[in-house]
Amino acid sequence: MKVRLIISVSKKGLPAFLTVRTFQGKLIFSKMVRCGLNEVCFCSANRKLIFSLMPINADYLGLSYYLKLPACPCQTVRVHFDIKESERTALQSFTLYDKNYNFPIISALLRFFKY
Amino acid sequence: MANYNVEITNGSGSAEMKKGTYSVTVVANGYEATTLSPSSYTATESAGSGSFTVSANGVLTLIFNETGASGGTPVTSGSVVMTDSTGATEYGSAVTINANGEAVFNNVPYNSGTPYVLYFVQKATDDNHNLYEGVITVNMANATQTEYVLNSPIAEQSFTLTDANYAGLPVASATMTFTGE
Repeated sequence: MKVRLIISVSKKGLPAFLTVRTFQGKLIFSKMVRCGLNEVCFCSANRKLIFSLMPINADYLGLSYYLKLPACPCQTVRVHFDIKESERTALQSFTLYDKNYNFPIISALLRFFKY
Repeated sequence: MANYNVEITNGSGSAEMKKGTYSVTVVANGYEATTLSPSSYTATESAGSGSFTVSANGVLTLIFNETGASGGTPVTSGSVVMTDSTGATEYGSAVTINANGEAVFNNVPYNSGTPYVLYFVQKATDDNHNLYEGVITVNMANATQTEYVLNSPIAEQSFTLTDANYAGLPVASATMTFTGE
């Protein structure tokens, strides 16, 4: 079947790498995506397809959709990828000492504001 | 609203943080928040660490004299150092006691609500006075504060040396040496 794929991507997830695979992992189509709205065409013998978008920036998470397309020779598929920021964290340890006498501060609160 | 609030206890604290660059502020009883250094921190994807310092602007004057109160005869020399509560760990350099019995500690923390407790140990005094034994405790509540510390005067000791076999016969001439244990 012939598939006309229209994908929209949230801006912060760009640029990103689009792939279309069968459920068995066979690559059908791939493309680097740089715009928020894209239209591509490809042919596939399989109706069950995985549409994946992986941002180049590791601060953002990839997203995949598993779809079973209707049994039509030609069809249009619209997919929106709402890319979210990665929740990855790492342990940060801190010390706070008196500048003049170099003893540990008994009790305090350090507040961090992201730029 | 802060992205992260990290509690510091006895100089240490930690948190799981997303990578990025953060501006940092501090809330510390007795300290000037504007003196926090550094004022930013960059967290990476890996575990990391950051060392910060903060400064205070209180001034403490310790006066060592024969009464431990105002008006007493002061010692004329010596030294004293800030320590932990046990007196075992010293912080910073020892401060000299001047000819008026005064030792001035600058940049100490203070707080009028909950006084900041500071500890000191006297390291030396002049030849005419006894050292203060133990840990000196100061509740620092004011920006400028004076505390008195007792250094009792050395008491005169009198001795006799007589012959052990002829009771009462004074030894004409001798030197006795006393060594501290």
